[in-house]
Amino acid sequence: MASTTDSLAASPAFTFSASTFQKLHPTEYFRKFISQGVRPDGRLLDSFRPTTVHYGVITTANGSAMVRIGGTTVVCGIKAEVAEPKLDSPDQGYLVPNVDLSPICSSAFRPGSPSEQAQVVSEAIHRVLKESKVLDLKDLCIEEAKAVWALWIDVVCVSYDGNIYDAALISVMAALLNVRIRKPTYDEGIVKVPGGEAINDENSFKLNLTRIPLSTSFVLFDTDLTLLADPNFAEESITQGQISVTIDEHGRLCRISKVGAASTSQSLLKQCIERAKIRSHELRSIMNQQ
Amino acid sequence: MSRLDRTRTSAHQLRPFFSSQNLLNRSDGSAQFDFGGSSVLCSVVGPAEVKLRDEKLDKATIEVVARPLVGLPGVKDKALEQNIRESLEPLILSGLHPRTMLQIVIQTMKDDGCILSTAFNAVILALLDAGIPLKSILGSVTCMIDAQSSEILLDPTTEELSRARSTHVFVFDNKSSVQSEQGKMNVDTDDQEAGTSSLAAVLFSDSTGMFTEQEYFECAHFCFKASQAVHGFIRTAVQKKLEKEYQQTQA
Amino acid sequence: MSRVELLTPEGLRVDGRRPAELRKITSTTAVLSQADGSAYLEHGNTKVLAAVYGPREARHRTLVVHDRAIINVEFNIAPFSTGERRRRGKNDKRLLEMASFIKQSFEPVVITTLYPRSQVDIYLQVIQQDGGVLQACINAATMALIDAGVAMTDYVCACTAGWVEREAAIDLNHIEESSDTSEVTIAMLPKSGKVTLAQMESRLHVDKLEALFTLAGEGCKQIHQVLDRTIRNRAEELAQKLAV
Repeated sequence: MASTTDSLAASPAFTFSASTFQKLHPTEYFRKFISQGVRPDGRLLDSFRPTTVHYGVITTANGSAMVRIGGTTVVCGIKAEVAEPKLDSPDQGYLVPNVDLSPICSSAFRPGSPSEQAQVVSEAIHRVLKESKVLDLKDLCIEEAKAVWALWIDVVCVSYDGNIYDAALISVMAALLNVRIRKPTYDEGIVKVPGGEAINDENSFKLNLTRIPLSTSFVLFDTDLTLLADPNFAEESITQGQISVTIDEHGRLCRISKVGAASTSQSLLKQCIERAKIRSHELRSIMNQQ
Repeated sequence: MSRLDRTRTSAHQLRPFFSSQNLLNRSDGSAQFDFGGSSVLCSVVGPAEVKLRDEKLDKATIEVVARPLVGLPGVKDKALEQNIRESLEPLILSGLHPRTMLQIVIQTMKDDGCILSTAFNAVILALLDAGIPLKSILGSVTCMIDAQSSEILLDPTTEELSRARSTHVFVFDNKSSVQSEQGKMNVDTDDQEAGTSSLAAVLFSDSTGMFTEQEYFECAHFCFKASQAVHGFIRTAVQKKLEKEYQQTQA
Repeated sequence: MSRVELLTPEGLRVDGRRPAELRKITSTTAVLSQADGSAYLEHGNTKVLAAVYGPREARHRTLVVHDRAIINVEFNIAPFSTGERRRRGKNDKRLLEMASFIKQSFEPVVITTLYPRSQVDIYLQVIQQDGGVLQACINAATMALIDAGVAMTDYVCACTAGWVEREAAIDLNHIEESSDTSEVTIAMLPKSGKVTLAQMESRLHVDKLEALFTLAGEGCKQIHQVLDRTIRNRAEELAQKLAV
């Protein structure tokens, strides 16, 4: 140990460039920024990255949307298929959300079976759709106990730079708003879905969404639990805890999750909820612009 | 008002707890925890050798494996694993065992609602049994809001959960709850106890469904009060076990 | 089922193209912030995204070759990309075959000896399919490799051609592909005119093959021009930024 300090003292010019320092001590580098109340990418602690929503980007899907939050890009495509209803709910269709984090979107993901993160995000979205009753599943019934619509909701992450849950949920909700399904006819066990002519209001229907939950996520940095809104990939990898607040258009909560990091005070959670209300309002106006 | 399971009389009553430690003789620590009809068995192995790929230079790698009651592990089990692992990481003094692995296996034995809470409590008992150094002890309680009556029911059964408008899982550790008791004077609420809860720090929270902000914090309040009973129970369980071990060494 | 008329009496195809006409190509490079090189390519309604990571440390020690880089191609088809939703597993034989085709067509072109003991990953994401997925993937991968600055001797441009009823046509769309047309995909190095991949899976009279080859070769050259323009524009853009 003594020799290293000696050599350091002997060469006072031994300094790092900022980018070397960032690679060697990512947390310390970050802490220096945070102490000045700003983040390395120039954002304030509670500001969000620019967000855009585009509808109907996939013509082969019944509904689709592409969402960008800073460097994170996700594409959600929804395909409606005629399926047999489940035995315990003969008059209800079903939703099958799935999030795919393939190696294309970041070098952090390996090819092979879905990563834990992809599965956790899929499960979180599934629970929000199901438990906050985003749409009446009875609307998806074609003929009771015979045929229903199954909506396959596939989210493909194209570029990953953190905050995948927010991006995925926005894309799912936007794609659900964009869904158009051709009106089917049921006749003695055969469901006919007419094809051919262009889709219009006459021959198709839209989904009747009861609420549109949107989420706002934060990470907790360091032992003093500094709150950072809309984390990017670098910020996610040096922090342990995250808080997500999912809220619908009437300001009702649909999901609150706080995982990891030390115990946080309830006033911090309140602060997150307040910030999420403002953010979800902003997101809704972005979604309505298109 | 009586509850659907007919054994409880109050909405804020928990089901009887049960725990036993050191059930498995091949693991370093194990425990079973029951909330009425829900039961989770947990085993802890560690500090053990770590795979080169997972090795961390400054702390132990914590691995959590969840096994469902029936069938193969699915997406739900992955979510359970992540929730438990990330909540334990700040609690376990993993810096004491760098370059090792701590493996926690969770097996659901009986499912009658609140599996996540049951698993949290089983894990902490198993960690205590294995003698893993911890910063504090946690206690978890689930509650739900009834769709019709909007009443908060603690520790619901599967049957009750089917009528829920929202479900809330909370975990509180015993250290920050003590701090919050001390700080309750600063809060300007009429109800002293509500003041305590608004300060009770939350280690883990997972709520889904439809609920208001006020309902959320009410749930936190009731779960916090109930978690005190769980903390007490864990304390007694450890005390009894140590007494027994001490007697054995004396004999 | 009524037979779809693939050619009008005037000799136009279902989407109104002439037999030797390509679909509209849209291409962009450097679309992804995370990858070392990336490209987005549309051939009409077929949309493909390619990302290149590397040359980087090989993932498995056993695969390392001491004197050159290995190329790894992973293929991912979005479940919503087809008319009929179908989930393809990671080990789907058809996908593995496609990945292997792409790998083989790039191996002679990428100067792998410059990057010994390393690995170049080409990840392809098919977002929407309307025929000609293989050609789109190869073209997108070329662009992404160039964007990543991986040394190559030439572009690799791919094009399909097939007999649509009585006419030889290029760049078949989904309707033409799925109605029993024999189809050839070739990948060519436009500078030397060498072919690195020729693939056909259906029955075709040998006399008719020559015509398809010439036509697809012409298509490759046209595609090359489009891709080259995008690359040059991008390079100019970068050069200007450097000058400032």
